[in-house]
Amino acid sequence: MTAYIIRRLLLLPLILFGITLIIFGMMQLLGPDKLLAAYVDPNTFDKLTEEELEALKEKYGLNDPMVVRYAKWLNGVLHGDLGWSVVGKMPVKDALLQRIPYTAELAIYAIFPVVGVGIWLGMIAAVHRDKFIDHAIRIFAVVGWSFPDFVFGLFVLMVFYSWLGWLPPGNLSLWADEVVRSSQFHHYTHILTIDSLLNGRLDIFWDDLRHLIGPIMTISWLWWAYLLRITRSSMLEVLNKEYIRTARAKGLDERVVINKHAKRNALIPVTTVGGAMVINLFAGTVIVEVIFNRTGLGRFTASAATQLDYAAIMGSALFYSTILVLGNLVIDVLYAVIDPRIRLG
Amino acid sequence: MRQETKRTLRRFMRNPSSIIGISILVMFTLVAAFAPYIAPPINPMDPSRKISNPYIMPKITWKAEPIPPSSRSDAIKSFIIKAMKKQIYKSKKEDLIPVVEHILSRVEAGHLCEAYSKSYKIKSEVKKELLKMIPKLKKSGLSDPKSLINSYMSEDFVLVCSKAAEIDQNFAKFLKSFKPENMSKGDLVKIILNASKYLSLKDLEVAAAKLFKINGDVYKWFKDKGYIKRDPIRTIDYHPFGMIDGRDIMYGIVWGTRTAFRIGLIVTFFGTLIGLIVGSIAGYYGGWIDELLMRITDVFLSIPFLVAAIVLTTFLGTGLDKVMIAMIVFGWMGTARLIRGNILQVKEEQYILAAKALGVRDFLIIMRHVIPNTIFPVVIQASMRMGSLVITAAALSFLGLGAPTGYADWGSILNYSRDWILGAQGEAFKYWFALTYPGIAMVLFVLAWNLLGDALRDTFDPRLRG
Repeated sequence: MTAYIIRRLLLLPLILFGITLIIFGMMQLLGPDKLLAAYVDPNTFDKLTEEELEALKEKYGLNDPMVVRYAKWLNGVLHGDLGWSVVGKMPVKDALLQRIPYTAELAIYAIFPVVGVGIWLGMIAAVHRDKFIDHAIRIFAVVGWSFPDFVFGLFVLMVFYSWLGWLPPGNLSLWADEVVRSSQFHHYTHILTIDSLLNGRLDIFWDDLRHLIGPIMTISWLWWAYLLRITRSSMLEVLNKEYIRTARAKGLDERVVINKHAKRNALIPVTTVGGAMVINLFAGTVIVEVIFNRTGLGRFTASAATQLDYAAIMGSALFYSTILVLGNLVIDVLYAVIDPRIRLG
Repeated sequence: MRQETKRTLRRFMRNPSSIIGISILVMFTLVAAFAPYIAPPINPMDPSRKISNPYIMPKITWKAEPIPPSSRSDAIKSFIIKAMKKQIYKSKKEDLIPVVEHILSRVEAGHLCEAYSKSYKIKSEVKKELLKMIPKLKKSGLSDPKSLINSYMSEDFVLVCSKAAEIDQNFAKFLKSFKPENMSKGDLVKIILNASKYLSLKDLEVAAAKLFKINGDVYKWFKDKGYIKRDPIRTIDYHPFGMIDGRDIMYGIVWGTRTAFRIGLIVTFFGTLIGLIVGSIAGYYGGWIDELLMRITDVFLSIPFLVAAIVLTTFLGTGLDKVMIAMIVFGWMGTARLIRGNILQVKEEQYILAAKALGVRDFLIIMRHVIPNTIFPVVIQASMRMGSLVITAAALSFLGLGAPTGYADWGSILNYSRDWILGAQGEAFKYWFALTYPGIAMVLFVLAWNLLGDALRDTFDPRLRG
């Protein structure tokens, strides 16, 4: 167990190093001229002569050998200097930090319906194998898994915003936004649902929730389908095991067999998938945030990409990858704790 | 062997999901093959002329009316600003004050600052105020704020203002403390016109409502007045799926089928090929080569697929080929892991050991025993991935990173539709066709590949066999 965790921890810096290599390598595709554009004000850029351009390249070290440039860049990254973001109009690090709470709020709230309903549906399908309800749930899963999130999100907007007017896009209504920006509103956690409750503003809490439901529905829809398929097949596998037959043979109540004997074992593989999914939720918010026009990491990345804000793109890619790597580490360790077979193997 | 193949085939063909999947795919293939006959690529202005690149959706424009704008909110914004301009010059100073007050409360400090700065007198006042803040700016780590302010004063005024506003929240308050009542009409006009660019559509509508004294639906009011002329149209005769942004939706869907097949097949083929090579090398040779290749795979897996595709596409420059390259570069790891695991497993099987003991050559062992026993999971995985790859490519186009403007691609059509879908208030489903038809095409395409993959897995997965 300890050896396993130590091995994973030793690999961690190696993988992070590899990620910086890939991201730096991708940036080199731009060539020195475009890289220079990241340093120089675009308005003056066109007016510069050849010699001035060369001088600037020399000044920012763009003519240095790649190894030197990589070392410089890595040094900056390690000290938290990710460059200046044109889109955010502030250093990339600050821009990312400012947007984390918005995305975290969305991802965290999305976990509950996704995991809860997804596993529940999968269990029902497995228990009622080949009955009508199983077929219905499976059809739902196949169709849901084939539904691109941006198509579904746009349908949600059309029905619940344009038609019914229940779930508006954006982060907050205008009036609520004004209150939140005012000095009377205290930001304790930067997660708005919690802050609004701490400030005693139930109306803002409700307003925030209204803006969250649409994106959460969109995220859940896709992942339900995925999670319920895995839960169903894992549960079916367990239900065919000898010990389930034994439990039934000794006359146990069917509910006890399902809930105590089968469910617990069936959920072990679901945990890994579920954990990996939760991490992917973070990256998956890109599209949802763009559709619902929400402030957050995802929309920041998307607008940085469309506006060619190279520093911001690299910063967000690094950030997302670090979250993915650290999250996977935590999940693997947790998994080893839950399942003794992994620990010993 | 023949008996076995026949039995497997029969089982595959009797599986309902394979029947549905295959028939949908056959339909799409036919649509793609007969695209020039279903949606002939002719110039809509002059039907006798063919257009040179059929993948660019022909744009239909009318001489009498302006070109349909690319984005609904942009279009309405520019119409409203144009209309406001006329009204502003006509109206008295008192009418403008509530509008300016509304704008002051809604525009960010930096942009407000710029709007102010456009009027020379006010600019100097702002500068004075900024210079007062020098000690504070110095404390926050700026080495030479004075020259910074001087140099930015001329060019990037927004930047320095927003930076100052960040440092001192009171700065925003200071900007708001300007009293519109004391300003000349000229300054008020300048502020309104400069700042309205930075307003969101909703805020702009409120500002316009205040200026025109409109009660109720601003969009409708403008349309009735004739300011906003063009909407997407849906005429049964020529455009069965309707039109968006001057382009025929059916044309886009029909030719987009070809695009979808091309993206899916090319990316899947090369991704699987790279994965096969890496995975077989790692699995067959083992040792440090395996360790190295698998760690590289881990690194590539550590960047979320969509984010990686976005980043690489941005660095390569947009375009469909760039999207495909990005998806291949970050799309081979699953296959590599799968094939490596399978080879490791197969290597230890009795029949391989038996073949080795009989003295069969390595190459023959690989061709006859290893490949047939490891390739099916790869094929299944590839067919399952086809759908999700097409979705990712469409998502990139939807974000504006993929196909160029006007390219027949499902994601691009959705991107056009997006701005119109929210519709006018009270007519939520007015532009339903702009979302529904491309959406159905996309869902069916992905569904077909997923069903096919499911059916293949059910038929060929050894664990379920027998």
